[in-house]
Amino acid sequence: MPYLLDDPRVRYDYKKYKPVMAYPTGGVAYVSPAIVSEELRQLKVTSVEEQLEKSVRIIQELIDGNIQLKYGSQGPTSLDLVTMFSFDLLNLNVQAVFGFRGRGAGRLAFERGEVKIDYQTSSAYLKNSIPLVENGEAIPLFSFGALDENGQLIRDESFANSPVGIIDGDTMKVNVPHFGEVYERLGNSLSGIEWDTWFAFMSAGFGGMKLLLTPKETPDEIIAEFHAGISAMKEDPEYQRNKFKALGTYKQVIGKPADKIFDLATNVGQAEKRYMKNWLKEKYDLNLMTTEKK
Amino acid sequence: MLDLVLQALQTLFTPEHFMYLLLGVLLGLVIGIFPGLGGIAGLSLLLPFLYGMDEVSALATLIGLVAVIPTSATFTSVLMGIPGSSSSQATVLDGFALAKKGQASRALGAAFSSSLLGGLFGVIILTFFVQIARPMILLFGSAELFMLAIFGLSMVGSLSGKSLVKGVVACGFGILVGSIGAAPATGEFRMTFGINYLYDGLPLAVIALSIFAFPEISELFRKETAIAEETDMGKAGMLTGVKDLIKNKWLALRCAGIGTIVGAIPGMGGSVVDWIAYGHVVQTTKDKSQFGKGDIRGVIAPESANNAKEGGALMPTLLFGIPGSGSMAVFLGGMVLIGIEAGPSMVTKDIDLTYTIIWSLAIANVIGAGLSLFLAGPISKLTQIKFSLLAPFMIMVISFAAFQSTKDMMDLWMLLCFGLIGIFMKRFGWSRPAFLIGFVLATQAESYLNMSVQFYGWEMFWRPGVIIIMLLSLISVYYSRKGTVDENAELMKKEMPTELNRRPQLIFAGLILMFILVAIFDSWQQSFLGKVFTLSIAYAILPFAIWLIWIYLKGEATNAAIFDAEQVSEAGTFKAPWYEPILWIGGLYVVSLLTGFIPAIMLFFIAFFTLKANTNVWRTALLTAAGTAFLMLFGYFLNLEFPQGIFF
Repeated sequence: MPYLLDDPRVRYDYKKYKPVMAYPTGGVAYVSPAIVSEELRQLKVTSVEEQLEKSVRIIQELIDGNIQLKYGSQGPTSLDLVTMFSFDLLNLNVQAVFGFRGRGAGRLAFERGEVKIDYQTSSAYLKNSIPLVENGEAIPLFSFGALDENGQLIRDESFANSPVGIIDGDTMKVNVPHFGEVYERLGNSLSGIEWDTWFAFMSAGFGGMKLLLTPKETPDEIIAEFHAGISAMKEDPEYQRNKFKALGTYKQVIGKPADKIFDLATNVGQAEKRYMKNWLKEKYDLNLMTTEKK
Repeated sequence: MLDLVLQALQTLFTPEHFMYLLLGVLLGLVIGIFPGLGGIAGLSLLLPFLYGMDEVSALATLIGLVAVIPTSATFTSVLMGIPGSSSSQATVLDGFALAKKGQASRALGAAFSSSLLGGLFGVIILTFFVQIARPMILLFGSAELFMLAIFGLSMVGSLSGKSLVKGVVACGFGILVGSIGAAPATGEFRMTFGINYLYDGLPLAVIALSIFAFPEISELFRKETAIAEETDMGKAGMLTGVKDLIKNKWLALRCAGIGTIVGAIPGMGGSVVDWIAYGHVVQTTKDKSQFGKGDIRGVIAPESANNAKEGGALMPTLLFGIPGSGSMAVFLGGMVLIGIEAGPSMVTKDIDLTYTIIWSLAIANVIGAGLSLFLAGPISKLTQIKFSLLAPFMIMVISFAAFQSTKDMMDLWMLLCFGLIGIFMKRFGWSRPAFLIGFVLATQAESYLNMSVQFYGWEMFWRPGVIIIMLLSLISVYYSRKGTVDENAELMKKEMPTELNRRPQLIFAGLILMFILVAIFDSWQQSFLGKVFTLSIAYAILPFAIWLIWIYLKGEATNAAIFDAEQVSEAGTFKAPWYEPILWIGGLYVVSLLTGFIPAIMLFFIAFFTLKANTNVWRTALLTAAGTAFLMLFGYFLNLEFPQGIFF
């Protein structure tokens, strides 16, 4: 993120590297039941559509009640940017409290009840937040979605078989709706500069999150060795067994598809970039206008 | 529960698992002896072996490794005054003072038996509380954590020496130095002066080494004596140390309790636990006159706390997957490698693994302390060696240790720079512990204050936890003024020469004042959240700094703030001018820039032995070869880097 936003602290240049392996990841935003009405808290769902309806109603309730939420953030130019921008697009009144060292610290503050809204990336969500959901200490709102082969936003299959809550002993296992669905249902259209900006930064932040890079001048033989190693790893039964819990359903790719992800991660359109910088300036008084790289 | 506990013990005692545990312990001991090397170095060595190990063996090895590092780190803290790890800084104060008196073996005996006691205490608490600890840990919100940082700072009162004014300025100076780098709330850079190295703030290891070890080394350098002024008692001394612990068992247990609690609170970090324990012993002891000059209780307190800490730190690590201390972060990393996920399941589905971890910790503590005790006698002999023979090795060790912080040449320049500040702090009787506590707690106090104000507003002061900790801090401040630790008390008692030349002190205080002004100036460039903390601290200590300068200019000669060890020491104590050690060490680093560290240290050895120690050619060659070989072997096995030169 800092790279995409031309943060002056960035002293590296992705253009000097090339990808060996890449894979996307996702994430889920969730809220504490403490700020949700009893009725919605007890609302059972049997399909992802009903879960979507539930999320939309929770958000509407928070907006109508003008409830201010605190969110523990690592900083405005971290990946949290996408999350905070999402909250803003949904018209949620969220105040970011900066200075958290990592998402783990943010989750701890959520568990302590200091913050009422939080998000975790896929693997952390599956490992550490699902137990909270099962205990009735968290209700998932939306995922950041995933990109299909054509670059379209779809639901993230990583969460398809995880519970979204347990009510009266019934475990509800449905997928989590993605941000676009929630956003649209709240009466917004999936076009225009706001949506384009969200989509661009989501694709870069989550769609191209995990990159294994080497300097551009690395000889092809070495890259081939890496590729052979990665392919062998993917054949390994132990990898196949543990992969879902550690990484989600995302595919670890090499070659052309990896190049595509690398492009996604390191490029954001000028208009979207400018819109985001403007948003940061207005919202957090963070001035990144003047630092644009030539 | 009991059958599960015993079953875990049984699995652990199969020869194979036990061997792995032993392997971890031995590795941890070796690595721990070397200051600056912690769990990460050990883990990097273990990494290739961990893959493919079964869960129990791997956990046993990992625990063995991290559990004993604070134990063996005590060796250098006591014998050389070099803080061996971030949680054995306080041990240096009295441990090294005892070594100078020729009681190194006694100090080590007490330290290791305290480690054992503390370690086992932590294990017991962990065993009984791990299943119910979650709600208790969650009680500590950001407001409580901020108050705990204040509680830590309240210890400064007990450690500030005779002059509280100087103590306050030293502590505030530490806080300001600690706030160099990115502001926790906004990420703005403070006082970085355009130096990339400072973006992440100064590393604790570099500061601890320069403030404590550097001045000691330079003083020994100038005195040209052995560390111990009297002959060490060896084995008998060690037994005395064990008896000292038995005599002070309640103190040790209290400190172990403190250690466990501080360890269990995620976000407190292990680097203050020893200071809190040390402050506690000073406050609760009637006769405080010997602290800082070799009181055995000053060794027992931090050492029982820092091993107990690991047991406590395992709780948040296992329950939340959030490390409670630096070594626990390493442990957590290791767990990920073998495919175990820390989290709530550790006390439900995977409770057997948790008990394996607990037992490994207990056994590792016993073996670690036992082996260290066994070695304490012979190793104490080091303090008898004439310093000119030992000095190059110690300089090599601290340089190498500092360089492991970020592996940047700047580590060494900062060591030199703050080493110089340390030398003058010691000489003018400024409290170095006060500075270090301020440094350690700066970031913590600031980020938790920032969070809790945003979460709770003024209501934060009405939270029961906050009120309790606040009262504790007030009690601690009250007791601290009844007597305080002063390493220079002996020298101060001497008849003051009619009038000291106050100019050197005045210049030093003036420079500190300048730094405070720079901090204020720098703060004005930042946004509100980025500056509010540093600016408040700077304004708070500014009047004290001005007051201090006024004392130097106009105060009576009897004022406690006026002190200069150089001028009150007997003539002939120092055989070399104060800047000579700086020139030697600075010279070593300059040559390193050109040739890289290894050739530079060889040159340094040869030059030092020939010019300062007057050893003959053969001995010089032998010592040089030994030192270099040792460094290279260590570097090879642990995959460590050394500073690279321009030419090599």
